[in-house]
Amino acid sequence: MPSYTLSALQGLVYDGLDGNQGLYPPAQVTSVLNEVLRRVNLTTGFTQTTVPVPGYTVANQLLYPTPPGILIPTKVYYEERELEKYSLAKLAQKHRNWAIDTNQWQGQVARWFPLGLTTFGIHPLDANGGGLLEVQGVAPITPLVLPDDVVQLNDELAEILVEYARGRLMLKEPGAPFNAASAAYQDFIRAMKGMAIWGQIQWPSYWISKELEPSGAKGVV
Amino acid sequence: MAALTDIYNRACWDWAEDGGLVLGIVSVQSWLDFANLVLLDLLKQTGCIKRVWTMSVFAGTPTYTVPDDIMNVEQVFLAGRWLPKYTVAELNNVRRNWRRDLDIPIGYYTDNLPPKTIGLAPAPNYNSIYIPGPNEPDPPHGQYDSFSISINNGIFWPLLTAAQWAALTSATWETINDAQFTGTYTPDQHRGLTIVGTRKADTQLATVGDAIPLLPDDIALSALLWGIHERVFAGDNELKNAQAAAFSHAQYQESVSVLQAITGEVPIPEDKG
Repeated sequence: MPSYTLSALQGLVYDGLDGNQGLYPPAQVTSVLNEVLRRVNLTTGFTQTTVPVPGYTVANQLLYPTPPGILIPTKVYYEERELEKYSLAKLAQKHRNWAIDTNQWQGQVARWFPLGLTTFGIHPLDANGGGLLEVQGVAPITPLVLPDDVVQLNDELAEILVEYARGRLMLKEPGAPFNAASAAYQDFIRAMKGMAIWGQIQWPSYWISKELEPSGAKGVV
Repeated sequence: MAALTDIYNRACWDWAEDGGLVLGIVSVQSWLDFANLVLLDLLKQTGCIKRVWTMSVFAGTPTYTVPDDIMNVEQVFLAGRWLPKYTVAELNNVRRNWRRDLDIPIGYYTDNLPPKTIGLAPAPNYNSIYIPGPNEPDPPHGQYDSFSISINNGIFWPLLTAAQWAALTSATWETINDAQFTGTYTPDQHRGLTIVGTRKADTQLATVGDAIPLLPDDIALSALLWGIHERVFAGDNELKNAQAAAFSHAQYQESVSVLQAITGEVPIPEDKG
C-alpha cells in the first residue's frame, strides 16, 4: 500500500489553496489532516490490530477493560479461539445465569459482549483464570506530527482525504469560496459509504445552495 | 486523555482568531459552555461509555433512584436476571394488583415516575443484602461496575477480595454451585438491583486546558468540534452562517451516527424482546 508523509499530504492540500501558508498555517493543516484521518479510521477501521488483555483472564471475572491500543473492539479471542459476539440483553435473555456461569459446568468460554467501548465481558466465566484473552479491533491512529511521519493510505483514500481537508479548511472563508469548496464533503460521504465497516450508519444529508447566475448577466464580459 | 486545547485551537483557526478568542464575537466561556453541552449530547446520543450500578432492594419499596452519573437506563437486572421494561398501561393489563402486591418483580417501568427513578413491578417481597458504597457511611450505597447475582450463601461473588477467594474451600465452592443447579433458594441471597446505562461525565470542562473526560481521544478529537461549531454558526452572533451551520451539523450527525452504529445503539432486530 502506498505511504504518504505528512509533508507530502500538506503539499497536496496547499496545491489547492494556492500555497497560502499565511491564511492556512501548517499547524492548522496538520491538525485538520489528523482530524480527517481519525474520522476515516473510525468509519473504515483502516488501522486494525490485536492486543492481549494484560495479565490474562482472572478466575471468575466477568468484565474486562478494553486493553490499551484498542479503540473499538470488534472480535475477542479466548485461547486463540474466536468468541461469538452477543449484546448484553441477548446474552442475559438466552442464558439465565449468565453472570455466574463458569466454564467448569457450562462448557468452554464461547461468547463475549461489549459494554460500551471501554469494557467487555465474557461468558461463561473462566473458573481457573490464566487464559489468553485477546481483543481485535480498530486501533487509534498515530497522529502525524513531524514532516517525515508516514501514514499508509491507498491513493483513492488519500485523494478523498486531501480534497475534503481543503474544503474543510476553507471554512475560514465564509461565503461563496467555502460553499463551493464544501462540495468536497459530499464526495467524502459518498466515498465513506462504500468503505464503512459498520452496517447501520445513517449518513447525513448535506446540500450546497448554488447561486444561479442572473439571466441578464449571461454573456457579459 | 486528550486536552480540550486541541479542539479550541482548531476552532480559533476556523474563525480566523489564530491566537485565541480575543475579538469578543464568541467568548471563551460561551465556547466552554458549548463544549460541555456537546460532550453531554455526544455521550447521551451514542451511549459509547456505559456505567453499571448495583444497589440493594427493600421489601415493599417499589421505586429506586438512578445515580447522577447514569443518564439513560438501558438495561435492568435483578439478582443478575434481565428484567423487561413495561409501561404502566402494559402492567395494568399483565398483572392485577401489581401496585399493591409484594412479590418477585417481573419487570421495571419508568413512566409516571419522577426523572431518574425506576420502579419495580410488583414491589420486591424481600430485603437484599446491604451493599456498601465507596464512601460509607455516606451515600451512595451501592457498587459501581459489578453485577448483583443470586448465590445461596449470600456471597456477593464479583466483589470477593483476593483473600476471600483464597479462603473459599472446595466444599464452599461446591455448595455455591450446587445451589444454582438444585434450585435451593433462601431469602438471605444478595439479589440486588443492577442498572446499566449511559455514563455522564463527573466533571465539567472549566478551562480550555482541561482534559476531555471519558471519551477516547480519537472520538473526542474528531466529533466534539463539529457540535460546538454547529451551535456557534447557528447562534445569534457575527459568525452566524447558515451554510457553515449546515456543514457543521452534517459533520456532527455523521460522527454521532458512526458511533451509534459502532456501539450498537441503533436497534438490531434480533435484540428486540
